[in-house]
Order: sequence, then C-alpha cells, then structure tokens
Amino acid sequence: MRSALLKLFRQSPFPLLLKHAEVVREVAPVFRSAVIAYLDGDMGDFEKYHNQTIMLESQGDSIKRNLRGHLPRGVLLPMDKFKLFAYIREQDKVLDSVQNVLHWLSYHNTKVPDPIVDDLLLLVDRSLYSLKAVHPMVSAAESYFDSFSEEMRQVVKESIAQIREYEFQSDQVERKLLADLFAYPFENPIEAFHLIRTVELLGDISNHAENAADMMRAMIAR
Amino acid sequence: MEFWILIAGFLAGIYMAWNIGANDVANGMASAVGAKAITLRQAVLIGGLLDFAGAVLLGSHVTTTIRKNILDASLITNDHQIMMLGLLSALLAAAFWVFFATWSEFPVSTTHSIVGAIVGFGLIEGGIRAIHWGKLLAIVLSWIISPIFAGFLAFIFFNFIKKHILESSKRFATALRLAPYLAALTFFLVVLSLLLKTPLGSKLKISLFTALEMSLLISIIIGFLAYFWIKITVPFDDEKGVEEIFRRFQIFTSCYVAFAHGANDVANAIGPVAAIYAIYQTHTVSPNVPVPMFILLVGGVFIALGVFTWGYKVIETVGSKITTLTNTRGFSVDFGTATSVLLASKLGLPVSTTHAAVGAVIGVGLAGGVSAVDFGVVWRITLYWLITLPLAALPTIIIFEILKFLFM
Repeated sequence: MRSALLKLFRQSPFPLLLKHAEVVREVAPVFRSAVIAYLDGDMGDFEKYHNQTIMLESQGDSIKRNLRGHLPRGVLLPMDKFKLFAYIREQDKVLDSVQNVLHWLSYHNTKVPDPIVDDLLLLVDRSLYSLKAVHPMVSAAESYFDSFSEEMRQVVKESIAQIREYEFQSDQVERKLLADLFAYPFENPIEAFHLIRTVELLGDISNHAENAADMMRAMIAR
Repeated sequence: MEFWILIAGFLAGIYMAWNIGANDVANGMASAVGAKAITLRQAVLIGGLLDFAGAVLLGSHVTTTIRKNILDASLITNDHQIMMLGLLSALLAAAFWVFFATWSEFPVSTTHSIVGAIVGFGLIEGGIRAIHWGKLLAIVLSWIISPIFAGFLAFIFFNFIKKHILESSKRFATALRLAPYLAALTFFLVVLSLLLKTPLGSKLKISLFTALEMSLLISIIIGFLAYFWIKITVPFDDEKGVEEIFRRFQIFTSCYVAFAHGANDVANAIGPVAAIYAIYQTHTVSPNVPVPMFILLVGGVFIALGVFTWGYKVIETVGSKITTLTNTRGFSVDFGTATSVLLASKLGLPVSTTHAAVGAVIGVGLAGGVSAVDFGVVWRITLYWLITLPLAALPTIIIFEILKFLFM
C-alpha cells in the first residue's frame, strides 16, 4: 500500500488534551481528601493522597510531553499551535499548583486555627470548582473545532466565563483569608508564614485555570 | 517477436491498470468512506464503474500526450522494433517501480513512474535531444501546480462553507439555501467536461459556447432538484443536518473524483500499450496514431478489476485513517481534487490524482478543517517525486539493454 494520504493525517491534539483534562478532574477529590486529612492531623492519610497527587501530576506531565511530541513543525491545526502549547502549559500548571500546595503543606505540620478552617475549606472548594470546569471546556472546544458551530462556541465561552467566575470567587475568599491570617495572633511565626503561603498557593490553582481559560478564548477567537 | 512484444506490453499495461485500480482509486474514494458518505461496497462499485467510464469516455486525450509529446520519435529510431522494445521496457520498468513502491509503502505516483520510464528510454536510445524538454517541463510544472490548485480550490471551498454555513447562527437554513448553488457548480463542471472532452461532444459538434449554455442549463435544473431533494429528505437539524446535506453531495463528488481519476490515470497504463499496438499494426513509427477504443476499454476494465480485487482493502484502510474528514471537509477535498485533475486532463497534462488529493487535504487543513495534518509530508512527497523520475528511468535503460541484447 503506497497511499500518500495515509501519512498525511496526524493524531488530533484533542484526545490527549481531554486525557490531560481528565487527570485534572481526577486530582480534585484526591486533593480535597489530602487537605481534609491535613486539617484532621492524619498525616498518614495525607501522605497517601499526596503521593496519589504526585502520580497524577506525573501522568499529566507525560500526556503534555506526548502531545507536544506529536505536533512537530509543519503540522497544521485548526487553531494556532503556539496558543495550543500555551494552553496545555497552563492546564498542566493547574496540576503543578495542586501538587505545590500539598508539597508545601508536607513541609510543616501546622495546626490551622479553628476560625480559619471553614474559609480555608471554602477556598479549596472554590479552587476545585474551577479545576473541575476545565474538562467540560475542553470537551466543548473539541466539538467546536469539529463543527465550527456558533452554538458550540457559546458553550465553550460559557465554560470559560464559569472558570473566570470561580477564579473571582476564589480570589475573594483568598483575600479574606489573608486578611484574617494577618489579623490572627499566631504564637509561632513559622505557622503564620506557612498558612499565608498555603493560601497563596491555593489561589494559584484557579489563577492557572483562568489562564488556561483565557488561552482557550484566544484559540476559539474568530 | 513483435507479437510477443505486443503480448508482453499488454500484460505490463494490464498490470499497471490493475495497480492503478488497486492502489490509486483509494485516494479519491477514501475520504467519502471515512466520512461515511458511502459504504465501502458503494465506494468499490462507484470507484470501479466510474473509473472505467472516465477512462473510456475521457481517457484518450491524455493517452495521446504521454505517447506523442514527451519523446520525439523521429530522433530516437526509425526501427519500429526498437521503438516497441523501448516502450515495452518503459512499461515493465514503471510496473516494477510501482510494484516496488507498493511493497515498500513509498507514496510514489504511477503517473510519475511512467513518465520517468519513458524519459529513460528516450535518453538511452535517442540521447538528450530526443526528449521534448519543453513538454516535459510543462508536465513537471503541472505536477507542482495541480496539487497547489487543488489545495487552493479546497481551501476556498471549505473556507466558504465554514464562514457562510458552519459558523452561521442558522446553519441548516443557510446550508439549504446555498446547497443548490454548490450542487449546480459541481454538476456544471462535470457536464462541461463531458461535453467538451468526450466523443459525445465531438459527435454532436458542440462549440464551447453551446457547451457552456448546456452545462449551465443542466446545472440550474440539478440545483433546483437538489434543493427539493434535500428539503424533503433531510430532517431540519442545525447540528447534524449540515453534515447530512454534504454527505449527500459527497456521494456525487466521489463519483466526480472517480470519473476524473479514470480519465486522467488510464493513460499511465495504456499509453505505451497503444503505441506498441500501433507500431505492431503499421510497422512504422508514426507520431499520430489514434488510440483504439478497445485498448481504452481494456485499461478501464483492469482499473475496475483492480478496485474490485484489491482496491477495497486500500479504500478501507485509508478511509479508517482519515475519519477526521467530515462530509463538509470531504466535499471540499473531492471538489478540489477532481476539478484540478479534470482541468489538467483537459489540457492534456498527466497529473497525479494522489498529489491533487494531498494538495486538497492541505488546503482544507490550512482553512482549519482538519484536526492535525502534516504539511511536512508534502516535502517528503516532493522528494519521492523528484527521485521517481531517475529511478523509473534507470530500470528502463537496464531492461531495454537486456531486451535489445536478447532480441535484436
């Protein structure tokens, strides 16, 4: 068989993008369980979930490399390839941020003050909302680039708007938490620093999700 | 001896025709199978029958070009036996090269192989002066221009469909409104080709203007029919309806591609056979010999046989690989490919249908229609194309020298 057409078609980036987004979605419950284990002082469970997160992040990295490796120079895509690379970088940074939070928590066993716990969990949940919204956005984008339908484009835009909204909510909680932490009379400054940095790192999760959403918006721009 | 050269020529020509059907038809039909516009069985039937029809009805012009214009027969030899042996060597070398390319999965064009082989014969027997370099240059240029033109057409077409139909807020209604024009345009080109290029046109003594009028009239009628056919049979659905409309169109563009392919590629197999046959009959090397209809028929039959016996496997494999070409994309690819090939066929230029299809896919890719298409392959194809000419010429020279040693 000597068909030139056989060699012309490359693997679409979307199956791998979706696979990566699935990993992002999978990490959400693991991450939440890790934070709860940390708040409960159950360091055994925390390490278990921490390790699971590391595994998932490594999976994400491997998918990202695979995706980049399958798009050498000369491959034409329905979107700007560099925007796609910027997008996957941001989507992967979401996973990195989740891992960074758990790495940071693992360095010190800080007792989170009771008045802070609820807001900290709220911040975790808001961050996870934006993280879970990534997969539907990628899925809708895949359909859009297949059909170019305005309706599907609107679905992608709505997913993007939702991620931005979650990021905004996460920012609000983050600011309140930081203010509360600075106001709290910590006896140990290391614990104060540890928690403040934790909150900042938690904020990074939705920041990167929003960056990814912004790149997606650029990709579907007409 | 001449009789045996004729038999060997026929066998090699038959092998080439079979190979064209087995390997090359897939390039035109696979996108329709991949997009599920037609089933594999339908593709085989359409590919076989319409390639045959294209070969028989439209094939003679290109056949004449390959034989007449690449070589200056008077500068090669006056010995008709030498000319027969040379053409047989070219056929055998092209057949060998096509076989090797198929076995090694090199995307080599049948068209380029036979042209390279004939050039090889011209060089060894008549020297550099025996080749009509101007004509050869025109052919080589057509090899570059035809994929670019097919790509350009496919790009324009898919961009038009994308901007005006797919991205429209009322996709189905817009598609329904524009569908008759697209159907009419396709049929206009098909009917025009039929009237201007087939024996039908010359029998009816149709002028260019009359052909244009008739094609326009028929395409307007077809456009109206297409509108009502689609309106009645395709359910209103903004998401799936558009692809369904183009799925139906793709059935016709597949026929168009198969027809154009037969018209263009039959010459690769039967061109030298027709020349050998003419020399066998007249014992003279004449530059102007009519191509007998039975040779075109044999070429068409064996192309069809190639599709039926092996081509279905290739269509199935290629079709399963290019499923990302949906009906709107497939329609654009088919339209670009067939128009480019038919136009080249009309101008008497033996272009590669495969390369036109590659150009058309790239065109749709540039318009953002393909999830990932490798433009880099084009350079590799160009490289294969460049090396095909000398690599097809070389075995011709060797085979010719062996045959000359054995028979002369």
